[in-house]
Amino acid sequence: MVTTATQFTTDYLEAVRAGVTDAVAASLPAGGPRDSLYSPLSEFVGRGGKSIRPGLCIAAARAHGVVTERVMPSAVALELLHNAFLVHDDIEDGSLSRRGLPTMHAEHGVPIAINVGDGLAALALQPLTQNLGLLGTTMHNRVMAEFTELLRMTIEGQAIELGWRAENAVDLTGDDYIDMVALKTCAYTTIFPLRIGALIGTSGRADLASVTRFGLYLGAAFQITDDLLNLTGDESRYGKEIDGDIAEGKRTLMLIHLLSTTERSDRDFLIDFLSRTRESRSPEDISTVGEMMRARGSIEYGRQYALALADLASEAFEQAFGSLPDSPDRRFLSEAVDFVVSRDL
Amino acid sequence: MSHQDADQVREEAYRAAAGAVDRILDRIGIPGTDRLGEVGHASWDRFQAELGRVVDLNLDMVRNAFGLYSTLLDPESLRGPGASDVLVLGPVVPGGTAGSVLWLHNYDDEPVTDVALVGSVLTNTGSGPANPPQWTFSPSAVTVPARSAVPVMVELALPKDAPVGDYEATVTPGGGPGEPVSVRVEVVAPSPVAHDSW
Repeated sequence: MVTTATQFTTDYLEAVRAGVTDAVAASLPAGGPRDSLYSPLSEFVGRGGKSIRPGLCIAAARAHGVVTERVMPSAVALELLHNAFLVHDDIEDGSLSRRGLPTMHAEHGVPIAINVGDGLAALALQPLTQNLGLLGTTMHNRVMAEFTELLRMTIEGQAIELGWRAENAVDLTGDDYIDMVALKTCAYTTIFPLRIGALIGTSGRADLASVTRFGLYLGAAFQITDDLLNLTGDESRYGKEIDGDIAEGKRTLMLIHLLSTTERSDRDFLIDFLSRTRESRSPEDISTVGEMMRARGSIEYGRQYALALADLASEAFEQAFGSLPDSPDRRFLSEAVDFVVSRDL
Repeated sequence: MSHQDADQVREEAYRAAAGAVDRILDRIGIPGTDRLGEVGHASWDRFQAELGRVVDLNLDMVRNAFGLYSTLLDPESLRGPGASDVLVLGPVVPGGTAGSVLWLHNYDDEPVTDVALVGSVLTNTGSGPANPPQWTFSPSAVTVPARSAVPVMVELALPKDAPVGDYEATVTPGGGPGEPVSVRVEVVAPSPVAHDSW
């Protein structure tokens, strides 16, 4: 059963973060332009994160017995790509803080932020070229195919969510939400990092259906927990503004639950609230929506939903990686399930 | 939330997640019988179609730049420049799998047909032979056209009880000309999770 994130998982991710941060830093250009590109880019990457994506990729490869060097370029590419997505997501969402500091566009303006995001996406391609020498032509191409699918799914998932907001969609279901999250979050956070690591670790023979299943359950639990933290977390640890998702009108599982269970008058209030721009949503109304979620049991609903997905992920882990010999990497993959639903940052 | 309500939420989650998995797998394909180069993967097929020509043109560059391959040749006159005599696998942990590409070169004017590879037992000078490893060669048999080269994926699944150490083995062709290629395998203990191990 799900309990708390273990110290082991935290230590493992810290080790990954240190290694990936060094590799990312080494891949950043030393020249210019500094003020409008590489300085803000380096500062943003240097803020660090949980490193869950490179961690899963590295662990999935190493659990099969390969050395870290063979998978590190792909792990670094995933981390740079994640940073690129964050910069653009924060613009799209109008978010103000990221990793405890102002978002890129809040600090440098939207034009520079868009370009820095593009720069990070371009830099993410660079380490992938090393796979040609490390893994051979066939596996290099295979990894590139995984990355192209990852990119398309993530962008399509983001488009679905942005479309919901633009259309003020209010009749969504949990199924709609999970389908969207599978593309927007799971693809680049869990599914493809795990698939790429497993492919490299097995020279292409991994049971990718099982790995995909594990990745989707894990990633969906991760996203719901992230959205719960946005409602209930400690801002100083979480690093983003609390209730920011409500302010943005983000269609979280909890909001979808609230919309589908609330009484007519409250629903009318919600539909009106969501139809407004972020700037015209008052702090009082944002607080009211949060209170409605608590009163309607939407937060507990989200928590139970995440725990159910975590249980599914634990079962899927056994199919995907359970037969591998004991190792720190296999243990990390197993305990990642507890980590994603019990984390507080 | 009551137990009944919690059970209902779990049921909703299971149904939604199972449906999403099906849709994702339908989209990506289920390469459950993956073999390199035979992948039921839409993106892979598109990518191959676009890059196939480029990859072909650059094979020599790839080989020369990165020394990825060993060479299996017989007679001696077929041996090409820059070939390595030893195929190195690993490092790999006990119970793990190590793999590499072995290029079969044919510098003759006639094709060589039905070349199937056979792997030997592993020998460790310190402790003698290990339990039999499991060799896999993909494809299992190949035809090497005249004055051409064909890659074969060589994989070695180590027994879980293989002691740490340096091992030697050979891969020998059957069904065609060729002499054994030496294989070296480094078996290492699982790495501790520490910063300096990354």
